[in-house]
This record gives sequence, C-alpha cells and structure tokens, in this order.
Amino acid sequence: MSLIDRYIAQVGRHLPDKDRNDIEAEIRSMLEDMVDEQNQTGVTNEAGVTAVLQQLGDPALLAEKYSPPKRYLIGPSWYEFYVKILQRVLVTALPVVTMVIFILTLTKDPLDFINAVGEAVGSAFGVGLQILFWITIVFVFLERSDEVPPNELSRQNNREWTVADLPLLPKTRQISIPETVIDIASILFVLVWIVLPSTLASFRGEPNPVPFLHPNLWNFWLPLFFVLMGLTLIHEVFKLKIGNWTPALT
Amino acid sequence: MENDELVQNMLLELRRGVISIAVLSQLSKEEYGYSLLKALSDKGLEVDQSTLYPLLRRLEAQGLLQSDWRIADEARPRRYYVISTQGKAVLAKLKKEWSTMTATMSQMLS
Repeated sequence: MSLIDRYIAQVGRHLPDKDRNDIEAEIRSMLEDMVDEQNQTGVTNEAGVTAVLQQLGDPALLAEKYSPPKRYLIGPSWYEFYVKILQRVLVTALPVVTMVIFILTLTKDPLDFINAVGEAVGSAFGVGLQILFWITIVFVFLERSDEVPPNELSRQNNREWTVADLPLLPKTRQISIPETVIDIASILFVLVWIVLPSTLASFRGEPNPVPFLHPNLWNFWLPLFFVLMGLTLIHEVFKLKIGNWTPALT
Repeated sequence: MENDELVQNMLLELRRGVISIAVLSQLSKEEYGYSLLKALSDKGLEVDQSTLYPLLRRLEAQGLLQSDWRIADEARPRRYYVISTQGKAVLAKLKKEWSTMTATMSQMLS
C-alpha cells in the first residue's frame, strides 16, 4: 500500500458514507496532480509524496472540512422549541402523576399518609426523568435528520414577521401556575384525607368505623371548615384562569 | 503575541468570504482543483488545498458550480468545475456589493 492509499483511507474513515467514494477519488486525483508538480522540480517520487501529504496535513482535519461534524446534541435551531415542549409536558404531567399516585396509594391504606406522599413524590421523580430522557432523545434525532426543517415546526406560520404580529399585551402571569396547582392539590388532599377513611369504612360495611376526627367536631367546626376550604378552592381556580391579580381577586 | 492570534483569527474570517467570491470569479472557464489553485495563486491569492477542495464541493452543493469527472489531456480522470447559471447571477450581485463595500471601507480607513 502506498502512502497515498494510506492517507486516503484515513480521510475516508471520517467521511459520511454517501460522499465517501467521490471525495476519495477527488483527493486522489488532486494528490497525483500535486505529486506530478513536485516531480517536475526534480525531487524523487517518494520525497514528493511525503511533502505533498505533509502540506495537506492531518487526514482527520481534512475530512472534517468536507463534512463538519455536529458537536452538540441539540443545536440552536431546535433548542428553544425543545425547552418549551419540555416545560409544558413537565408542568402538565408531574402534578397529575403526583396526584393520581397519592390518591391510589391512599385508597389502599387510608391512614398511611407519609407512605402515600413518599410514593407520589417518588413516582413523580421517576416519570420526570423518563419525560426528560425521551423528549431529549426525540430532539437529538430531529437535530440529525435533514428531513424536518426546524423553522417549519417551531414557527406556527411561514409568512414573514410583521409589526402587526406583536401581541397586544406582554403575557406575564403574576400568578404562577405551579404554585396555584400545588395550592389546589393540597386543599384536595386534606379534604380527601378527612372524608375518605370513614367513607371507605362505611363502604366496606364496617359497623363502627373509627372516625378520623372527634365526632363532636362534625357539628359545627367541620361544616365551617369545609365551606372555607370550598371558598379557597374556588378562589384558587379563578386565580389559575385569570392569571393576574385583579381587584376582584385580592 | 496575543495580538498576533487575534489578527490571525480576524483575517481567517475575512478571507473565508473573499475566497468564495474569488473562486466563483475564476470559474467562468472550467478548471480542476489543482489548476484553479494555481490560477488563484498566480493572481496573488494563496489558498490551502484543504480549504479549496471542500469549498468547491460546498459551492456545488449550493448550486453555484457544476462539475463532472472527465479525462482530458493526460490519462488521469479529474473533476472539472465551472460556474453555473445560478452562480453567475449570484456572482454579479456579489461583485456589486463588493465594489460598494471596498469603496466604503477605503474611505473609512484612509
């Protein structure tokens, strides 16, 4: 094997398959032209080849100039879209998962509150990791496929941006969605926690269910408590819907 | 020492665009890689082979050049490049921009 063959093989290793043969042939013909030139100046063939290859330099670097590799997982054209999707999915899915797992665990063993919280947080963490992983994988593939031009997906319409596209008001939410969702969830938790044990007990047909709270409380304080909770719940739902503090909400 | 590196980097960026225009301008008649390299160097623009060859492919992929393998004078097949119709249109625009830009710059730098 000649030096030229070995050089070209090294370049070819770093080239994408579809262009490989063509680029290799081109480099070979260029190398031969250069060696011819060297020979005319009177150096031996071998010295000429060495000089020419030295001049071209590291084969890996040459290959890189032909097809610059992607040194990132998700490039700037996809990154913004990626973060947006990730946020939306996490914000939607995690509270739901936490909630569902909490209630399911509590249904099995109504009094083991700590276990239920542990299960819920644990599952939410697992699901969060799964979501992160799979969405990232999808975007890594999108980044590497030439089929989908990023602008068509991330932009909702292809037409030119005009000043008229500016939104009327900047969409700032003074009231954060996650906080409000957590507020609502905790109110529901407490309600369920109080009501569920006795309901379950009577459902199973136990003659003397052990009440969670002292029966005397049911007369006056509990109804008041439930009404307050209900009002708070309604307040929270409105906060979520409106998004900003208005005189009516405060 | 530090400035040398800065100057090198800025020159590299400056040359990158210039070389593309130079290549387009010299391909009104077809050339193969090495003969083009010679032609550019004869006119005073030294370009690395490792820069020129990938650039030719890129310009062709963009539709500004056409190429084909041919056996001309010697018995060796070579890839000949020539400017395409689209390339000519692009070059005409670039030429115009170039003369405006150089006029502006020499005014600024004088």
